[in-house]
Amino acid sequence: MEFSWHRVLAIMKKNLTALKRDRRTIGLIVFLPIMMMLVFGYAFGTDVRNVRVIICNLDNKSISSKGYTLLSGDNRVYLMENVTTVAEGLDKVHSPGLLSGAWALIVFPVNFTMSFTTPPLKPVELYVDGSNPQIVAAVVGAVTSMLVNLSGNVKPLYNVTYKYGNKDYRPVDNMAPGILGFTVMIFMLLLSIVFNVRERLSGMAERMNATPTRRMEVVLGNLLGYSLIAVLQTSLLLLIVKLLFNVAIVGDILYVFLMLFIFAINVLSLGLFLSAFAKNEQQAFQFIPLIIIPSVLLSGFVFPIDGFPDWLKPVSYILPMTYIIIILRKNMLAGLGLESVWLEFLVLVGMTVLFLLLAAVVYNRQKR
Amino acid sequence: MKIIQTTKLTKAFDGFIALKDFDLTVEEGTIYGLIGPNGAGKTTAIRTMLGLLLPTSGTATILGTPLKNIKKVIHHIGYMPQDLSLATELTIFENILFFGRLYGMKKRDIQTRTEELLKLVELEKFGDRLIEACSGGMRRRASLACSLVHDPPLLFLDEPTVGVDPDLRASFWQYFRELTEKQGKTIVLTTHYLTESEQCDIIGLLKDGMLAREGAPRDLKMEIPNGRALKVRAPNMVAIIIKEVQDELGLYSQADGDFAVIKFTGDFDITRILEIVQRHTQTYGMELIEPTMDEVFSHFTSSKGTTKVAANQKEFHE
Repeated sequence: MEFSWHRVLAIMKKNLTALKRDRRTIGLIVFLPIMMMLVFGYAFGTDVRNVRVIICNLDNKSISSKGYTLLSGDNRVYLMENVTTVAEGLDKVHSPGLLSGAWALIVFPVNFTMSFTTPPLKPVELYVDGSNPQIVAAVVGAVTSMLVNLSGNVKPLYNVTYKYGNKDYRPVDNMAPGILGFTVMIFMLLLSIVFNVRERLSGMAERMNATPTRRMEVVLGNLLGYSLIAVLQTSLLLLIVKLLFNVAIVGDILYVFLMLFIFAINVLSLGLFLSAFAKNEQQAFQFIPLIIIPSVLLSGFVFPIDGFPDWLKPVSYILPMTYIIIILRKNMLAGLGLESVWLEFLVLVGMTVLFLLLAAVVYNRQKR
Repeated sequence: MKIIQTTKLTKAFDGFIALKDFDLTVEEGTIYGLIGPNGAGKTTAIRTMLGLLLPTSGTATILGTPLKNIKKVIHHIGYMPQDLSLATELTIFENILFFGRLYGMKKRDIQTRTEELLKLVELEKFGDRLIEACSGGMRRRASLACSLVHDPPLLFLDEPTVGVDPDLRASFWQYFRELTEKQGKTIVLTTHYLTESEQCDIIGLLKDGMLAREGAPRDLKMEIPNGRALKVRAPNMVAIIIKEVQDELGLYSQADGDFAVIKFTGDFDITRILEIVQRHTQTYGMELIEPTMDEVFSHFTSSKGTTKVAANQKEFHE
């Protein structure tokens, strides 16, 4: 038979009709690009902003006060707190999590104002959490601008002390925790969503429902099976990251492994829950970008959350990926353990339990 | 003893009524066949009775337990769904083992049971074969074996013989009879093979989600007006026999070459027909013709009560 445009048009029409009736896909096609453009726009369109810093003004005279005013007008930094001693401020310098934490402490030394008239000029002291080079650059930039403004043409004078990390940290060191989390997330989501939908479509899930098996038993059975794969994958990932790229792991590799494993369980539970809402494998696949894209863009993996507008930040804090990144970064780059991220850890575990319960509730539920 | 009793069980999906006012009673030790074309509600009925679908209205008691508490007795029930419903990446043996474990059986007991089951379904040489490498018929057989692994007193089998070759179908039915007659088990099955439905103790005729009629196949056949027939070979005497049978017995007859086909209902005394035949000839041949299950189904489900098979029901005839 000869080539026929009638057949081509018939196929095109068939696909469009099917698409028209698949509201979820249409929603995805419309919603996802809007969300992506907004996030890319906000994240890429501006430099890092609102980096949380603490000020310790030991001078308290005219020039340091002017410096303070200049800093508060600079949108690269957000002056979250004033402290009276350096020690008090240093305590709070660790990459911010849910509860507290600032990226840097800026100290105006004693007699700072006087040193402008009676040299030598006293340098501003900067204590930074250096785990994110982008952030350090923003803080240094804000301090430099302030000093240039205060002293005219005199070369700005400041000292940077790295409380965590060092100036040799490469972007890959800062990205590694996110890359680990992202890799675990994408494969665990795929695994749990696709396998679960397949099990349901084959009738196996319903058949199991006609046995004494309880839904929580099915969910846990699936979860434990997949989590063994997660153990294998996580071990491999860590080996590659450490041996091949020699990524900084200041903390404890076993701790990193455990946290990644908990994150894997979290994602698997989420996948099991979401799969209940997919009628077929095609719909199941649609969940993957829906979870992955916000997780990549909004979790602090690529762009610091501090730079997002306030209305977007709550979205970051409902993503499990945000928490694993905070937990991993603090350990891998600053050597900080559970004592500094107990709230983030609890949120992650709480989300896991919630997803697990939801998965059990909706798993192959009795059809109404 | 009543193993299943449903009262006005109804199941609707988004306004479409798949099962309507379904009243069913199944006695212990019987094979109950739900018969009907595709979409008649057979599978919906089974899934509702198993608690897999929430009934829209109505009540049911399964093994003496209200339907809402069916999980309490589910370990006494075996279910073979219409779909494949097996783990295709596992072997036949691993699937049976898996279901045995779900029913809380010990591995050693399952192994012993598996040997019996594989023999029954004629798969004893294929226990190690992956389901994905099995033919359609083998998969059905493996699925049946999985539903029997825990030796349940009540079995729901949804189209157990679809895709199974005729010889094996016959041995399945023999086994079903053995299960009910010798072991006192109860089987509820669906089939769209009308001829094999005759082997059920009771059949329920489903149409458009409603139980149009139920009864023993033979009883239902008896009820069809002029459903049975005596076909008598009496060369040259056909016309006179037909006339006398009509005049004296009031039976409707028709000629078919050398044959007179005399129709009657139920357990009409055929010796009365033979008396008339013997008046005219002593050398005759005869054959008793029973209504087919097609005719039974058509009669009880068609609104006009005609014995002609409706065109839209032909698809489920063997």
